[in-house]
Amino acid sequence: VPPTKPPILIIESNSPTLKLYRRELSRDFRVLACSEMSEALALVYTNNLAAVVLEPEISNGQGWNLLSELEHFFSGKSPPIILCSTLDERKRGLQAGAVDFLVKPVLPSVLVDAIHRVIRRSSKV
Amino acid sequence: MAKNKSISEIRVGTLLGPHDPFWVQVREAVYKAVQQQGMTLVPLELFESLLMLVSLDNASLAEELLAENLDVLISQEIPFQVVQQMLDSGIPVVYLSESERKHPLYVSLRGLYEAAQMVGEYVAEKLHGRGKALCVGGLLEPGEDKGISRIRGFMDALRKYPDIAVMHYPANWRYEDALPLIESFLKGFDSPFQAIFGISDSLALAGRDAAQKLGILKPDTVVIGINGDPLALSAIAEGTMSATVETSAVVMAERAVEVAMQAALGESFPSVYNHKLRLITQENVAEVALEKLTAIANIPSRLVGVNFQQGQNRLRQLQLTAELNQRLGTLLERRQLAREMADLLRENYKYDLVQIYLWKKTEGMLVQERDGLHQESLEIPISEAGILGDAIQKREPVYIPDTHFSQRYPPDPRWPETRTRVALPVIFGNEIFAVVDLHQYHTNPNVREEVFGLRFLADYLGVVFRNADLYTDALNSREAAEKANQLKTRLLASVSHELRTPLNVILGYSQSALSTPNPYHMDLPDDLRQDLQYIFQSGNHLQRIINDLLDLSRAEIGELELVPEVIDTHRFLEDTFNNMASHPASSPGVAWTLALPARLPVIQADPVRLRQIIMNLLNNASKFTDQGEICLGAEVEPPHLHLWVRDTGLGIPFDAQDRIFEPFRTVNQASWRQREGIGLGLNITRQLVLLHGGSMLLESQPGCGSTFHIYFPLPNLAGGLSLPVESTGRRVMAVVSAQENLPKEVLEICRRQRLDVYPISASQNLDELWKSVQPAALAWDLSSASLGDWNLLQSLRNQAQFSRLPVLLFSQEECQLEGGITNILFKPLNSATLGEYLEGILPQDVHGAIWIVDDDPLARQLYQRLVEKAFPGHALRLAEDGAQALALLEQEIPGLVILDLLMPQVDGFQVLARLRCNPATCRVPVVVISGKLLTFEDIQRLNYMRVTFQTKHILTEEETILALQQSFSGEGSLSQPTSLLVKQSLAYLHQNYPKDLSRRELAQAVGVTENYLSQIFRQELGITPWECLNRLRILRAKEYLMNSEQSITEIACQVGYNDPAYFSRVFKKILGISPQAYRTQPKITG
Repeated sequence: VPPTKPPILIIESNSPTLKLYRRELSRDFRVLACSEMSEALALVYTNNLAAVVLEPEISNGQGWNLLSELEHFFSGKSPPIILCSTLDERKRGLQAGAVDFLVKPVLPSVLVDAIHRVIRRSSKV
Repeated sequence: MAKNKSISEIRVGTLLGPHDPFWVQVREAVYKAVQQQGMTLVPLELFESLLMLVSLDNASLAEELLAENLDVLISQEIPFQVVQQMLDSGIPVVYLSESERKHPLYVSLRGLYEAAQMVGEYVAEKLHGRGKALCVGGLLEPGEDKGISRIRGFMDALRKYPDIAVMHYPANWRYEDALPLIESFLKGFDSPFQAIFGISDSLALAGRDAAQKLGILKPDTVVIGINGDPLALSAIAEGTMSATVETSAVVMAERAVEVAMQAALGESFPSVYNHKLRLITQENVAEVALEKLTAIANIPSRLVGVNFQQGQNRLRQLQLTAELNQRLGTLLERRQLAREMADLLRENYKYDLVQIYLWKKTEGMLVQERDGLHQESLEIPISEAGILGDAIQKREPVYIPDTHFSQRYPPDPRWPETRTRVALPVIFGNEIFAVVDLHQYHTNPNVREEVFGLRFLADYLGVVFRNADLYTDALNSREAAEKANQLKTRLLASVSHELRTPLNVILGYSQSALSTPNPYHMDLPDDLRQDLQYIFQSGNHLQRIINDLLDLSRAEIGELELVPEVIDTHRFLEDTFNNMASHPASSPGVAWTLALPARLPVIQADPVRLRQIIMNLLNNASKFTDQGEICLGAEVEPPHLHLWVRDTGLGIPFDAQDRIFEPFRTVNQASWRQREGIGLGLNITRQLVLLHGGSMLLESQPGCGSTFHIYFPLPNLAGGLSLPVESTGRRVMAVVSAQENLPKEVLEICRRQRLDVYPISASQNLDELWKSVQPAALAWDLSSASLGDWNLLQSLRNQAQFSRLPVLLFSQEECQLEGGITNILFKPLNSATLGEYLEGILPQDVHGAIWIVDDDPLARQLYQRLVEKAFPGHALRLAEDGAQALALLEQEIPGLVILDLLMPQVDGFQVLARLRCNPATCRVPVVVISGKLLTFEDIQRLNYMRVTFQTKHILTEEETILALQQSFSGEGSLSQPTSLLVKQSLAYLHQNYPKDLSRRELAQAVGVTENYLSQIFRQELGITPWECLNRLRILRAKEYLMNSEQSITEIACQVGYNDPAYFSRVFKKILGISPQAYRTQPKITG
């Protein structure tokens, strides 16, 4: 029996990037993707996600609000969130509760490795 | 003008300058006469001296005098125009000299012509009608009195004697001015004068002294003057002057005052009044002198008074300046300054209205900013600002003594109530900041002196304004810089986003296309794969440049921030190196080597930035090395971790070595140019090293290669980075280890760094250790750490000098520190500082050792057994007395203390106090087990949180074990007030057990209900109060049974049981044996 692919969500507003990540990450994960904040919340609440990849700069930085909303909603037990951003705001990201912070350009292979590592770690805990 | 005034309301102004002794006499006599007449004296002499400081033109002087609201002025010498203005304003002027002027309100003196005639007669008589006579003085100076009447009187008198030749020579009034004139005049004459007449005594003396100098003064030369001033009298007495005609100062003054009063009252008065004349020669000089002496007697006190008043004024200015300094010195905002200043001036100078107008030079406007929303600020063009404008233009204070009499300034319709007004410019250097506008609704007679003081104040205010302006400038420029930085930050963010988004797509898609299997489910032609490779490589290159540029820009605005973590150095360097060496972009002729010792201590750094530093240096090396070796090395050199990247490449020309770290610097050499980037890497690398508190060095030999050295500070236990310390003498590495064999890595480092090894363990006194060795660094190997080491480390952290030492911490093999891949960051598993890191990996169940502090060896044995039963394997410390406990406390922190109260020298109370005053030990639970009977005073001393008290031998072993376990785990430890209740009840029991006690009594004694008392008692001691009382009584009974011959009944009574049978039952229940049997059994211990 092949192991089921863990479900992940990618939230990204640049469509070529979103298409690329969806395509590449689908080899290892069941990929849900969206480019809007409103969609994102519904997807997180209704799916038991293994990880979330979020560009915090979407909609003029609204991604940051999403991050804090998720942290609040799951009261610290939200699925692990990887921030994958064009801006280097590591300190802010890690303080806000993200488990990883990647600065673009992030190669698909690198992102895949990062998600695997995060899932491994969260399952250990 | 003052026809209906009473005499006391008449204001008599006097303006009588103290030119010479005669006039001092006159002035005094006038003062006296005015006061004798009962009129109000308004002496204006004070401001005469001020005239020298504040230059006043005639118009201003007239205003001054008019402002005094005088009824009459007695004056000796004032300018013609001023007298005229007074007269025109209806104020009578009594002039104390002769004058040609005619005016109905003007009175002048007459009689000097007659006096000069008397002189003429005297001279003619002395010369026996023959000879040469000289008349000196007059005509030269402006003013009313030019001495004409005296000259004429003298001439007229001598006209009757044809054989007496008379000459006149003009001169100034003052002796000093006249003397040289007369001297040069006399030089032109061969034959001497037989008589010299000075039209005043001073001039007579000047004439005499001039002749004397030229040697033409004969003993019989007649020297004569007019006035009768004291100097002349003394000369006459000496015989160096012949005579003078006294114009009695007192009589003159009295007559002047009399006329003045008539004029002031509007009565008819003469236009002239006469001198009283008397010829003084050697015959009557003694008599006259005595009269004068009496008159002069009270002059000095008044002169002193004038000085005193000036001193007072100055003192007030100083005080005000000091206050200003206090209140305004800290104010740096113009508008607020202006407000405060206005308040101060209002309070201190009693002005009714004080306004401050700020001067806007470029607009030529005076601006008064007002408070509140409803008032708009008032702007006045300088041309319309009147007195304020004048003050600005003249750059000095201008004032109107009384607006009603001002010729210069028409009444200001805005301020109809204002009588006195002062405009005070606030100046610093060339700059005028403001003008202070002061109003008084009544005339201020002291305005002159005040302006004098206000001037100093204005100078000071200038300084304050200047400071405020400098401060505002500084604020503005800072704000501008902040704005610029914010703008840069925003620009940077948007540039980052705009550059990285497409780059992400370029790199991502080319990697995706090149991957196998590719997304297209088909093989790509080789040419296309090659093209995609080019795209990917160029994209990578672009990425590096963009990252460098963005980093540099962030560094410039101070936004390059670190996210530090504790890093397992060895593994980190290995990962980074392998990642680089596995994709060598360099020539195949280059060998990549990693030279690391087997283990390296952890460092505190930002892993992303640390990786960037190493990658930059490795990239750089690879770019300039065609063959040979590129080596990454590391070594511990306390207080640093030393990293280096060595290559065998081109090397850097000597002249470029200084500049190589500057941004956009490249080496101007053909072999370099083809390999160049844009020259940012090294600059950023160095900035990052500096941000980590490290330093960077370059060592390079052109043609042979370069080595870049980096020195990172090692972390310390206080959570920071260690600083280099001045080392004196031998350097010592303190090694934390409970084991015999010290870690070999540490020994190896010490050997290479020439450090003496000094093992420290938990039992050491840290203070003494510091005094004797002063270590240069601390080392600890986590992989061989014992529980005791953790306690020692806690103590080291609590000691300032140890906590700042560089720490060489070798992490465990299994330590969960993760290295990562380029550009991937992990949320730190461990915290940002070494201290937090250690907290994080601290074994969960580690508490300090359990201490037993008791001087009784049997008790120690008992507790040891109990503790071993309750906490098998737990560390234990035994202290034989309080002093030992205190010494132990210097080194480690206990987990639980079992404490006896009664010990020799240092008792349990002292140990407890020491424990509680140290923040590190104040929460350590303490079980006091003591045979001491508690007093209420003892309870106060035991009143700490987490102190449980038990009477020795009251609890069974099992109960004691349970109590110890509870204390240790913190379970059931009650809050302080509750615990105090238990202790209070215990003390009550201790003191009252022999009495017949009830539960209610006990509960009432401590002020709670019986049930509540039982509940908390059980919670803390595991037994009820009643049980406790019984056990206490039986404990005492045991002592009596063993040590006394008393009967059982007596003993029962002694310990509080009225019924011996009940006593026996309780005794048996607790001890399992009857009192009788207990007494007869062989003695047992414990």
